[in-house]
Amino acid sequence: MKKLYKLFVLAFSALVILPSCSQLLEPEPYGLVDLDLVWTKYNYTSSLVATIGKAANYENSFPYSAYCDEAQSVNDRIDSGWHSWYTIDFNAASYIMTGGWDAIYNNLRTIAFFLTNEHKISFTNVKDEEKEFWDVKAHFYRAWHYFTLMKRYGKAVIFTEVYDINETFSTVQLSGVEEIADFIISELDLALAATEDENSPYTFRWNPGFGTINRGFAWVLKARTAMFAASPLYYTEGSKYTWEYAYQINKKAIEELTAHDYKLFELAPEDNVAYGVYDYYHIREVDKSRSKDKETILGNTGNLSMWVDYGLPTTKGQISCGICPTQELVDCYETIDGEPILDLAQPYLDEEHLIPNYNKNNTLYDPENPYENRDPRFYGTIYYNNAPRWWVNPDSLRVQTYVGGNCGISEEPTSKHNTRTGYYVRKYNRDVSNERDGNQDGRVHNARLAEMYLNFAECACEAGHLEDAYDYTNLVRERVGMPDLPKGLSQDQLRLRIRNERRVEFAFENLRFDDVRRWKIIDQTEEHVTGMRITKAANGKFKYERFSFGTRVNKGDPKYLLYPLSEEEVEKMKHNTSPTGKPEDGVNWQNPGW
Amino acid sequence: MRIRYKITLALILLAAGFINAAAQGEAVIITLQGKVLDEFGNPIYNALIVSENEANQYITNPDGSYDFQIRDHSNYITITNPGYHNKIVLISEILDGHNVITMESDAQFEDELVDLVHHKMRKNLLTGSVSYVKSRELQSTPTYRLQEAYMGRILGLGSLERDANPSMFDESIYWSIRGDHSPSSVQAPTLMVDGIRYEGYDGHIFTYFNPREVESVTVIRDAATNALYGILGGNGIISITTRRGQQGEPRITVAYDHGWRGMDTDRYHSFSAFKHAMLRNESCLNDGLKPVFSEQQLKYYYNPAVDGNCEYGNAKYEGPENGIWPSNDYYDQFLKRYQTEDKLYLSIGGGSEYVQYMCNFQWMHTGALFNQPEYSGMNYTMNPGSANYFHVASNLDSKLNYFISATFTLRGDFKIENGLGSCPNDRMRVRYEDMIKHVMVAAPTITSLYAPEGAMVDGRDISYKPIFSENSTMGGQIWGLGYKVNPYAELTHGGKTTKYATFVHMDAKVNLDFDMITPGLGGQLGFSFKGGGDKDIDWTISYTMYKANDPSNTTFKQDGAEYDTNGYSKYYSFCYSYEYFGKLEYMRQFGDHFVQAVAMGNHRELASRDIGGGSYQTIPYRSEIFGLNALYAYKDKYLVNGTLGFSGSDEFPMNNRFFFTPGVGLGWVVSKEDFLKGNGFLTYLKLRGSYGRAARGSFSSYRFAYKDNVTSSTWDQGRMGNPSLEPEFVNGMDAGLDLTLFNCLNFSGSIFKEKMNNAYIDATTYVPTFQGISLSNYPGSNTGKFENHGYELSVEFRKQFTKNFTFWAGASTWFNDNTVLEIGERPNNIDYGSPDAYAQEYYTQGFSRGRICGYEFDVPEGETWRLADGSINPHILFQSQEEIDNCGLDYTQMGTVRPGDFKYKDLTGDGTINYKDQIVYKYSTIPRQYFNAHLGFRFKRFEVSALFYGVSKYYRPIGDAFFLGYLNDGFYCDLHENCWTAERAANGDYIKGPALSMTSTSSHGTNMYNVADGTFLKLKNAEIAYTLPEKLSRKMYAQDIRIALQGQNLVTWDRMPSKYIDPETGYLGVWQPMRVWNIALNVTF
Repeated sequence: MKKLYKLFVLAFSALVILPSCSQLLEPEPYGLVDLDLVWTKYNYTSSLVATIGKAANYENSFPYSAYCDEAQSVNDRIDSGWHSWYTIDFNAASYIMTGGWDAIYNNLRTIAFFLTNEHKISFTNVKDEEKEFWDVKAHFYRAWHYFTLMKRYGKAVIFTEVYDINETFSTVQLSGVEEIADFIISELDLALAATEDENSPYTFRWNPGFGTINRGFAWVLKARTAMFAASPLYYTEGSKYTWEYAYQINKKAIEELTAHDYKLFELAPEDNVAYGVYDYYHIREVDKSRSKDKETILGNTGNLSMWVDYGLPTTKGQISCGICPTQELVDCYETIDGEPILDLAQPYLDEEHLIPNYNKNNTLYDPENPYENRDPRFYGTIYYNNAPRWWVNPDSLRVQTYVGGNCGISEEPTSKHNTRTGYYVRKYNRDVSNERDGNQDGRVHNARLAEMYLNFAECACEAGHLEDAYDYTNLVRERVGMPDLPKGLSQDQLRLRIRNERRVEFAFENLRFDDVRRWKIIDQTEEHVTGMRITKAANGKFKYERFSFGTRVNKGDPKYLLYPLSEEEVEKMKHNTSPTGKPEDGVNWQNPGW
Repeated sequence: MRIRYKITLALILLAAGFINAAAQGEAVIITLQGKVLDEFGNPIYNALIVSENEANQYITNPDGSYDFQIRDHSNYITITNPGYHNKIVLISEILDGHNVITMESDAQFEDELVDLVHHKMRKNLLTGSVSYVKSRELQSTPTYRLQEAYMGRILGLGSLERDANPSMFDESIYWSIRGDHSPSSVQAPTLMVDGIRYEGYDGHIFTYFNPREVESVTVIRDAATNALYGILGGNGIISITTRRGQQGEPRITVAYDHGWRGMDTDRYHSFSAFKHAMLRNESCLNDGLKPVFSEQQLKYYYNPAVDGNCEYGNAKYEGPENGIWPSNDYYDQFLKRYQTEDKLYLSIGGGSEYVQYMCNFQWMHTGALFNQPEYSGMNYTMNPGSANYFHVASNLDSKLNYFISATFTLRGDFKIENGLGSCPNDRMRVRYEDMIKHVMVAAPTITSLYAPEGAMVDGRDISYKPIFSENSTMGGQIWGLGYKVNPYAELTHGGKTTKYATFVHMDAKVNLDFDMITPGLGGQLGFSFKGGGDKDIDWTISYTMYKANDPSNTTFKQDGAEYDTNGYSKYYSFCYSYEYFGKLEYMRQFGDHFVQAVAMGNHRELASRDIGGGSYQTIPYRSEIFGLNALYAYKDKYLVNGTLGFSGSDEFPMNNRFFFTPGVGLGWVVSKEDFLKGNGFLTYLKLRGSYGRAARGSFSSYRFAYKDNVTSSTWDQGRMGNPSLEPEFVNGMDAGLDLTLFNCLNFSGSIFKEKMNNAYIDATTYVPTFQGISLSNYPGSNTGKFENHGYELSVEFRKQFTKNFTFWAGASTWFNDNTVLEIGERPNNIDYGSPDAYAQEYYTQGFSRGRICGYEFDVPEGETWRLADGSINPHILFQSQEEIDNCGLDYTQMGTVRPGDFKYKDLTGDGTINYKDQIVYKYSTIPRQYFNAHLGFRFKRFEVSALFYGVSKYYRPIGDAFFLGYLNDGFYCDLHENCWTAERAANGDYIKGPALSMTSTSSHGTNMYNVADGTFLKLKNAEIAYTLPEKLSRKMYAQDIRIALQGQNLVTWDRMPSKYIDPETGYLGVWQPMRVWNIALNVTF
């Protein structure tokens, strides 16, 4: 008996003593994975590579339009980002545009991790050409990420090795635009230096189909980088990125692209699906084989639902009209004879843009009949009052944006269905898209040859190569049937025409928001936008009245040229870079004005 | 690992061997008969009589009588009854005829055994701070979850019912023992039931306990006592013990409750359509917008019977009768006033010397929550809220021989609950949450939520289909619901979810009596298992919404796609946990010396799995707790208590997995000293103090926070681990005294101070984001500091004045105040005048956890922002545009500022009002002061009792979407009446708030107007009970029949700005704590 008790006591003590055993409580194997395992399997490494472009600035919509002078959001009176943008002067903490600082650096770290560790790859079931393509991707996305950082912040931290977990960040240096631009171009050159084999699925190609990175887009990035770095906002005295340098790089880019069968899209629409070649291009379905569309350099495969999200209230299933084109944009469309409507040097006589300063040379424009005889791109981009609803049988239904019309201008502050400015977006919208026939709308292009032409024209104009500037602007104009620019313009006059051309050609293509910044003209463009209230008199005549949306609070302030860094990041770096430990002695990374 | 299992197995086999080997001693039978009475000669019912050797037990009958046999060679019996000193009577004396035993009252309850999870200790011997409540008091709360029964009742246990969502259980209650203990998350106390830990997620099952099954609920507050439980003890412990069978004749209890539960306390009522429209227009006018409702529409909405006299009084009334200009109260239409609750409870307990048993059965039914609208197309019943709950609990204690006994417990629960449709993934609660919002935001001006009979669209009949009116923005997305909000549609076309939940708990323990080794030594080995599964069957019907184009309700157009596909989905989850444990207990009196010791060990694994989830979070949690507690008492007068805990869990790295938690306590019962003995004034006085270390083993929302975690599907950079992670240690000092005056007035007080020097905090104070690892993935570290202190006071009076009249009253208050000392906050620049100056150097360090930052009103010297009559001081509101233009301050970073908006102080002096001008308010969202009071009396057969509970020194930010008013089509309630308008200001009218708006304005920044003082006092519970005369109950073959009328949450006194906001929730648009009325019938046979 006694033995049994002793055994019990012993057993009990054992239970108490057991924890000293080292394996105790060790969790079962679980899904927590050590990063070093990534080099052991093909699937792992390829998954890692697949993440490095996640933060790329790839747009499948046009989110910036209502944050610049292209449009006024229909959500301007209800709690929304736009309402804040129009009414609040932001500070670094409240600024609402997503700069991507965190997400991009997260990708940059992965890229650095990949490039410095890929020699550890221990699996063999991968072809050398695919491994090389992984490198291309890493360099390519690194360039694209830095371009985005340069564009938004005007500065970046360039690193090629990951920081240690115990890093103090006391010696980290910011790079300026020139340095970043050099790095971007060298990274792109590394990517372009890779061998190209048109038959392999793993090489960096000229023509990989829609929505995939390609050599053409690498050239676009190089050209854009040079043009941005030369633009007034980014250029600093002594930088090698002069307009002349940008001109050369852009020239080379266009040579490369045209040598690889890139051409402006010039197919006329069939069966009245569109007004002209321009809007037809924007509603066309994906042409992966590039049999007809040789203009798109980086396209989208996913299409927009314009009729739902940016639609007309008469379309069944419309949720919102989204954003409403401004009168300022409408005023940019020349008359069909190639004369601007307003004096481009000073388009408006008052601050609020209510009194237009008409171009005295224009004979076709009639303020009582403002939508007649305009640039064909106007009809393909905007639904205006009395615009035909359908291109087939255009007289059957008209879009009435006058007060009380079938798509009448909105009087109710919270309604999202009707326009706020008197206009709706037509670009990308195929008129037959609706609930019954389904979505047949078009897509935003991230890069197309016309942009390269106008980029080149701008660089050429600025660098004094006016002939090239004329030629390439005219190429874009000719495609839509607009006459050539008049000969003999001065550099200043030509610059205004090219900028206006950009604004018209690339409406709702995400370029304007960046353009007004790099040209440093936000003080003239960003504070005031107007709409057109049209009333129908008893005799059936329309009365046109421009009206203002009030001031977009302080949006012309120079601080809005660049995005702010998060206040926290700035405070941390002040502390980290301070030799004394006192933040006031550290380096201030914040952009001016924030 | 495997060795240990083998040992366990061996021990079980060993125990089985004992059974056969057990020696049977020859029996000497002595029969005892008599009565137990109190000082007034009243019989004591339910007094427990235990023989010296503890083998024979008896519970006295309603007339106080006893009649039982002693067969275990005992020399004396001990009689115990709460509120009376233990009485030891020699058997020989009883046999001599002294069989009437009189018990003396014990106001201090010093002989009562206090449950300390793994052992019990006489209250007199405690050196720490422990409070508890017994079964009888719990029974006066009508409840379907046990937690409600002890909310507010126990000294030191604070609680707030944050949300009374019908599908939520423990998770909706904020619990705190002595406030917060660390700057990191997870502050809830550890919950133990019969020594076995019950987790939050499976805790909802334990709520089906009937309070009658529960023996006691104990709250362990001080660090030295909690040290025994290691990593479980840091937040304090709530320990629940259940009742077990006693020797004696079978005792049968039948109880039936019928209750009505509803948000009756200031139930929300929608404004009339006219009033709503007026407020909507007022908002537009304030913003300089065109009014939403035209003059003509206002005239139509105007109803003289409701809206009183006003300028629209002459209009022709075209009110709700014609359905075109309605005034709907959708809340009232769809939400039932009361949910019924029926509960039948049956219990049988009894036993012999060798076997004792108790079986409990409970069936509970709750009724529907909503008025089910009529809809001919509905071929199923929804009745969301209606549910059936079944609960069975039985336990068996069996003595196998003179040194081995075994106890078994088995509990099972089953629930079938009906909820709203389209809420798979166990999100029934979310849909209830949506629903209460939807019935509130459906504006009274909305014509109707369904199309009337004969309504057509495109030639098709759409009668009784959900609609929404064209002039409404109800189609917008709110609360992530992503679809049209129409309560009618949800209740008729929305499908339903039925939840089937099951839960099983079982445990088996073998108790060994080692008296033959040394008297007083005992041991226990046991195993417990809990497991549960949930299955949701969700049936959704997609439906189409129709827009009413014009208010005359004749033309409709379809909105969005139409599709009639039925959706059917299932969701299930499973969880289990098991523990094995053992302990050794020793208790012995050597003359004047008393020693009590316990050593225990416990291994636990817990796993849960949501089907469809599946991640490393489902890896079983493993933890082990070992502890040793020893008490030495000299003459019950000088007490020394030592504790050593040793615990670890898989949440800590291997080389850092187990930790010691020591504690020590001292006590001195002064009243037992000669100089105070026999003193009729100061009948009891004890001084006690303790110092110890308790630990918090879970504080990170991640599992295995010591490990890196790369997301293996994408190989994205994931979280980084901290390889030196350790538990957080709460070092706590506790000192207190307990005293009794005149043997009826008890006083108890404690003060405590806790310090934590290794709180787990983010270590990213100076890590910038450009290094590429998301800061939320950067490893945290044990480098924070935290402090907490407070006190607890209670006064208790209980006296039986005459044979028929007993009166009791008690009050207590407890206070805690914590400070976050170090959390890695960067100091701000406070060089006022510079543009990057902040109003304060720190916003977290040096303040309480849960602090609130906000703007300060620009109140003129010597004035207050709120005037004595409750109106807003006109000096803190801009009265004109001119005043805004001339104020010299830039408000542009605050959004729109209009006349009628608040003026804020530019504390930083930079001429700009922005977030840097915020200050930390005086109180935080963590309540500091709690108080409760209870009183009652018994007169003859009547018993009346009441419980008050209150909280103060805390703030509730209430500025949610409902508060702002402009939500959707506008939501207006008493918050939005009499707000600033130019006209009211000019008239000098009472101004309740800043000007209403259609969007967010500068007034919506956090300020003291939208942060409410959360102070409240509630009549939490009241009961009137009557016990039938014995003669009458005997006729019904019953021993005892008691009828009671009970109420919960009856009255609330608070300082909330709206009567619809309960201070415990602090928000509109959630389920407010319910008022419950209940009739309870309790029969014991």
